Amino acid sequence: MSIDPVTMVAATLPELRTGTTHNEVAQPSFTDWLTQQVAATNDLVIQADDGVRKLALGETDNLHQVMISLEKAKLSFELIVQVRNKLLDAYQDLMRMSI
Amino acid sequence: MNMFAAFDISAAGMNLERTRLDVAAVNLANANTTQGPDGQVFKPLRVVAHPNAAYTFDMMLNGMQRLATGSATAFSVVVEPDDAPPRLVYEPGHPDANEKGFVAYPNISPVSEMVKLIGITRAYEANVRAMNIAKSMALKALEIGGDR
Amino acid sequence: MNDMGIASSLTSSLVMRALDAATLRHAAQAQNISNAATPGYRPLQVNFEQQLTMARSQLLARDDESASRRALNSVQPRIEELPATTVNGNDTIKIDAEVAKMMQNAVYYQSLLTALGKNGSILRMAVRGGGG
Repeated sequence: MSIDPVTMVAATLPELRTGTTHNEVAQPSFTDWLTQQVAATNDLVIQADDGVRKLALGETDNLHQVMISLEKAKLSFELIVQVRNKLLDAYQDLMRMSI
Repeated sequence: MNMFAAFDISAAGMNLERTRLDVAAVNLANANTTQGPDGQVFKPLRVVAHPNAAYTFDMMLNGMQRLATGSATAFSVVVEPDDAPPRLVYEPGHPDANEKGFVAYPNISPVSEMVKLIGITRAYEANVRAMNIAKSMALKALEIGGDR
Repeated sequence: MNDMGIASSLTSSLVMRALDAATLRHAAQAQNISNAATPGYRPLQVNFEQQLTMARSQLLARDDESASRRALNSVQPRIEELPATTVNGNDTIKIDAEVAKMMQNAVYYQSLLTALGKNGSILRMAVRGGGG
């Protein structure tokens, strides 16, 4: 059994269950997923930032919406930061393996 | 709905209750007077309040209205005298008695004015409570996402 | 991004300016309430929201950072005196309305503070690489 950490992560993501061979599809898909997530997180952070600016301008129509979008941005950001940390850990584990 | 509108609405309600309180107090104070400076018996006052036509419930729900308290008001309040005939009391020696010996007093029932005061107090408290709750809700919304 | 530092993005500066305005507004409102029965008293108000509304589009735009910053620097909260309001010889600072405005201001202040804190915690997460 080849322990391929990238494939293990990719297998749990619903949109990547393609049913084809792992090595061909999983690695570029994971990169795509990560890129998508970074873009999505960026959008969420910008949206939250817009909400805060509008709040400062006195447009208080939906205070709870501003809070919710702030929280969504924070969670999304935390997700990709943790994914990055885990990837780094895995890489360091690999590097530490004596040949 | 605009967070600020909730406070303005309750403030308008409280204002209305204040006006009604003043009117009830004036009525009570004048309950035993006879003639005013113009020779007329004091006419009991009444508050008539209408919601402003421009300020409808739909607009409130769509968040389109931000009331500036004091300028665009939620109610148009009119204080008008009541045309009820005066109460005649037989007091022959009174300086204001008419030729038959009756003195005209305003047609004010202190009991009903006091009952109105109770209603006014409760309405005022209700408005204050609504405002406090609006504030709590807004502050609770700030707690979305926990303490971090 | 030519910001002046990692913690002074346009949003943070805007929010801090708004917090200053809210503090000033609280002082003005407290003064108004305590002088509600003073004859001929001229109520104070803070001119800030109108300035913000005029600069709204520049402040919300994201394409030109320096234009937004200029717009922000032009918005300064300042105290103004209103003419005294008398009706029938009685001063009409309505206490209910003033208290309602004070409550609005307090909620505005609190919500800005919380939003600023949350925004900052996103940044903190990036700096700390996964901490709180």
